[in-house]
Amino acid sequence: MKIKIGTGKRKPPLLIALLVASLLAPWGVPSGSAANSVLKYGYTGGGLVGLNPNQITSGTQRVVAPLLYDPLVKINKEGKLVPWLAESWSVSKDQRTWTFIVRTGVKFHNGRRFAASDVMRNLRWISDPANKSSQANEVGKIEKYRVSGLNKISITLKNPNSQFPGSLVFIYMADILNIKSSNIKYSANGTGPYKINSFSSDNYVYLKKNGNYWGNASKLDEIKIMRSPDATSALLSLQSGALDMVWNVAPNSIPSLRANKSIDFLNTDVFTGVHVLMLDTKSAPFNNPKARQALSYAVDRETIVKTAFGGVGEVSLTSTPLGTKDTAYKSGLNKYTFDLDKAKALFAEAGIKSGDTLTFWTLAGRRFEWVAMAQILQSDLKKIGITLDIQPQETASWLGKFYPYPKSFPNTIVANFLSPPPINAYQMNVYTTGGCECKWDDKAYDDMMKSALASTSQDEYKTILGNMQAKFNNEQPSVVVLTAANITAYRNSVKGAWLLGEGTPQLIDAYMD
Amino acid sequence: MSTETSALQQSNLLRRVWAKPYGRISITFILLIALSALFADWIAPFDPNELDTENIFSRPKGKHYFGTDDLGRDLFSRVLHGGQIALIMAFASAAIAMIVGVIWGFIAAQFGGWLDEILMRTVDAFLAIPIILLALILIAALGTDIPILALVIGLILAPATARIARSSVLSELQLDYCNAATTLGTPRLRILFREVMPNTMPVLIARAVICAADTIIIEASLSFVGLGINPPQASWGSLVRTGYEQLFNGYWLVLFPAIFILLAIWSLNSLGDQILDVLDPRSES
Amino acid sequence: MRRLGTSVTMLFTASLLIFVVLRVLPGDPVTILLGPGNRGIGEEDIQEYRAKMGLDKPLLVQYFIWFSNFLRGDMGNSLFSNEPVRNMFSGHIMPTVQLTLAAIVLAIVFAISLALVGAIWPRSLVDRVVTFIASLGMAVPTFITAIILLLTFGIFWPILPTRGYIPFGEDPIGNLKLLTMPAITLAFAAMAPILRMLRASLAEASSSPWTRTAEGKGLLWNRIVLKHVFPNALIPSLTFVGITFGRMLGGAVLIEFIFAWPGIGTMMVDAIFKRDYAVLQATILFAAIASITVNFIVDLAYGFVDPRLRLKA
Repeated sequence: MKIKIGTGKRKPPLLIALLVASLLAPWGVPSGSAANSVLKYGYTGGGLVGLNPNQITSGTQRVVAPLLYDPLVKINKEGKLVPWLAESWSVSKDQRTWTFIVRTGVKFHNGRRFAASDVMRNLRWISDPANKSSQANEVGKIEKYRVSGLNKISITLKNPNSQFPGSLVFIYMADILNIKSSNIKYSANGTGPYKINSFSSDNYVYLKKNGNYWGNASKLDEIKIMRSPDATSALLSLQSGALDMVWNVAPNSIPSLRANKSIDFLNTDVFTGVHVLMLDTKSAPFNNPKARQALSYAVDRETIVKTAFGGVGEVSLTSTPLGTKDTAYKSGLNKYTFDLDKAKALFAEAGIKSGDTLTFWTLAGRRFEWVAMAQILQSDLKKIGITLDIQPQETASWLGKFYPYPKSFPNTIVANFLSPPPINAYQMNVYTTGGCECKWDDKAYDDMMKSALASTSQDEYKTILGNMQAKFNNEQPSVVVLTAANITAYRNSVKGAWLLGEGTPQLIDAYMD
Repeated sequence: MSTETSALQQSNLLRRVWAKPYGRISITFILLIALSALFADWIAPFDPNELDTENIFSRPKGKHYFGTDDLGRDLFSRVLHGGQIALIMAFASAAIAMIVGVIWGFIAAQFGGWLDEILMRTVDAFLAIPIILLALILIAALGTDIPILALVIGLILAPATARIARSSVLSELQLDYCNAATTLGTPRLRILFREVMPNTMPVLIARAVICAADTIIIEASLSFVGLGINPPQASWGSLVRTGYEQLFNGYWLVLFPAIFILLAIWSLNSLGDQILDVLDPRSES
Repeated sequence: MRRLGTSVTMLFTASLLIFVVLRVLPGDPVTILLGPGNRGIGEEDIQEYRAKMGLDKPLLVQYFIWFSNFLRGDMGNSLFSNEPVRNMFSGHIMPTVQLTLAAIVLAIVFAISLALVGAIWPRSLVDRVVTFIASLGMAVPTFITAIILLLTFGIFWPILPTRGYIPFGEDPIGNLKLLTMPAITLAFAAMAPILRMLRASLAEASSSPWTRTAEGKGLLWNRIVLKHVFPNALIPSLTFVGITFGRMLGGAVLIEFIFAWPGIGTMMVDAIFKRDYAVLQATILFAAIASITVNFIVDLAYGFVDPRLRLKA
């Protein structure tokens, strides 16, 4: 068939040519307008469902809360407790009645004045079991309140607690009076340096500067906190500049990201988060402390931190919740140096022998460092004849296996990351009866915790904590692999951001260069 | 159309597909992949699960043809073994899809009437729901073991298979030889299995091949969202997934598994097309 | 009319299917909702909450309650945020609609252009390339296309933004720029079957007797193609467009995930992982409705456009 190529209509290809040409036009990458300084912050995973600071359901909320709200006291960059909405405080001899003097001249975003009575309202709301507040445990039991004047409030606790102000670092003051119970999740009325601009549940929250802030004026005009479901594309966006900051970067992407000159990492010297292997201390075989110790010896912490965690974190050789830089860290305890022979012997004493199988749970689709850790453990356990069956659990199933507390998980090792408030009392408190999914209930430990909290002497406090660590080191209710923090990567045009001990970025002093 | 015995017909089919250039290419690739997967244990230079933590993220060089991954394991060996998983799953899922789908479709076609209506409406209901969602929900519920994955994917591919089976049976039933057989008094089921089925074989084979391709795609998509098979085993899909996460640590981690996936899916699709092409009376000149 | 009836039964069946599947899933939204932060929560609290949400009634009862509400337009509230599902829908639907529309337009444009090119120069190198592209489009999983595009236009040659969404009303240019990569990814996969169908039809039409007659009369080949062959070839492809459009929602899910495009797909995936039954039921049903409706329209249009088909059973 002879074909003569003449001049036919070429409309469609022309269209395509136009389309392509328009795409290639040098538009560049979108950014905020020059006049406005905007920080674009990305988080992966879900969770920013609501903004109620007293109902925290995700790590990202912890980043947003200090921007919209203020607590009475805060932890600063150096890890010290500093006054915030509370100017000063004092405590009665019995460590039960705490009196706070709060600042005057502070206003909520809606204009109403903040007063001591608001402190009471917030604490009451949190303590009310009907509200099922996530912060209830941190506040503890309060017997009575006494408000005098606009700025003085006395709180009497049921039990003595010498570290009470520390427990208030994540208790934020919202305008409880003006929030309807149906609306509390959204209407973010706080006293913080930023105000709500717009919010879309589990999608984004846009904040703008609060011109009437009582403290240092915020240096950014806007902060956009946006969800980026896929971790890798979030990092790609960080590289391309579409995001300025990405929270909770996978540790093993850090070495290669370091090569990018425009990207830095928020880090901290004192890690207070812990990656642990949780065990069911009430079911076989891990109800036998020997089995737990055996596992602790079988964990090659050095290799795991180097390989699975990209070298970011501090190996916890004594397998205790406090890092070596913590003021109350007890040195000289037994080191669980990687030793497969010891592990094998101890496992045998506990009834686990060659040919047996243990199960390991990780979270499907998240925390890939745990999957790597599990595989290292799997390969090591194989050498002593024990099979490790790795099962990634999809979030809902994972949660269903643990909650409501208590649930049994025999023969299973569960990876978990704990990030209590970065105060050593609270890091140790996790393991009191009822505080840990591991179901450990050691009365001696609980008593020591109580006396530590009631103690008025720093030395006595440290000694008691030391003894608690010794007990933990011996009994191993959980195997602590490393202390670490969730790392945040950011473009170095962002200045002034810093990281709290467990990995929550603090943005209130941030500004763009 | 005459009633050749099914074996003869199939070898005829094979010859005709082989005669076409794309047919040759796709069959070759599929054979290559299948053989390399079958003999992975012998071909692979390393144990796919052997960790080498001193040697993580190393570029392709020396004996590590495809480089190493985040735990120092040889990627080439892992890809080959991934082929085994791909093979098993593709086979199993396709088998399940075909068995369930063909029975479903045949029953509907043969008995007609309200049974047909119900069965086909159910097919439509399933087809209306996006595949990936159905897969996500079922896997999230049932877990990520290989047998379960194969079962779920097979079941998801069954409705479309049923439709194809049904329409091919229906078009055969209209032809003269079937009417002749009925007039002669041959029992219905006999007609179905003796006469009709062999003639529908080619279409069904094509469909089975496409099912295999779809299985690989679905498995890869599930792995991408984190619901793939359990470590340390690796399917191509989960290799692409982890490779993508560690993109910055090495392009090869994504590149090689992705190439294998593409090659496998492309050849299977191509083979399916060639089979259908061969059957098309118009191309018989 | 009969078609309408079957469509409705399909919907009903689909909704029942979804409902049952969801309810037998292990994992419980209330546990996820109240769960981890809260040591004080016990089994009774969870049961109490479930009762409050009506999750403790027998399955069938729950289904009827839900269905009757749905018919009235009340899709319930998200088990998590307590936001009415309807609002969530209206918040998330625009991005998905925009994405799928853009993708289908692009797919049609690509498919038509490539098919024409192949038809005008049959059996040439160009033609073979076109065939190859078509088969590639069907073989490449969408997320791989997405990765390739992300790397190429986001990193190596950064001319396009890599994530996010701005409503068209707010910033049309920004919106279109953000739309580009996700839409092309989706279009590439969607174009392939349409392209193949088109090429097959074109091939068939070009070998038909009346084409030969036209050639015999001395008309230029490409004139023939464009004016006569092409419109006739378009018709069978319509069904494919319809089917593809109906299935696009599934394809959009992964793409929305990768590009942080806040559409229905993202909503669905989240709901699956959180076991947010209310959201899931509504969205899956919506997907089913969309797909069934599109097919219905395409069937009607097909029958309308080609009278010959109306006679076939």
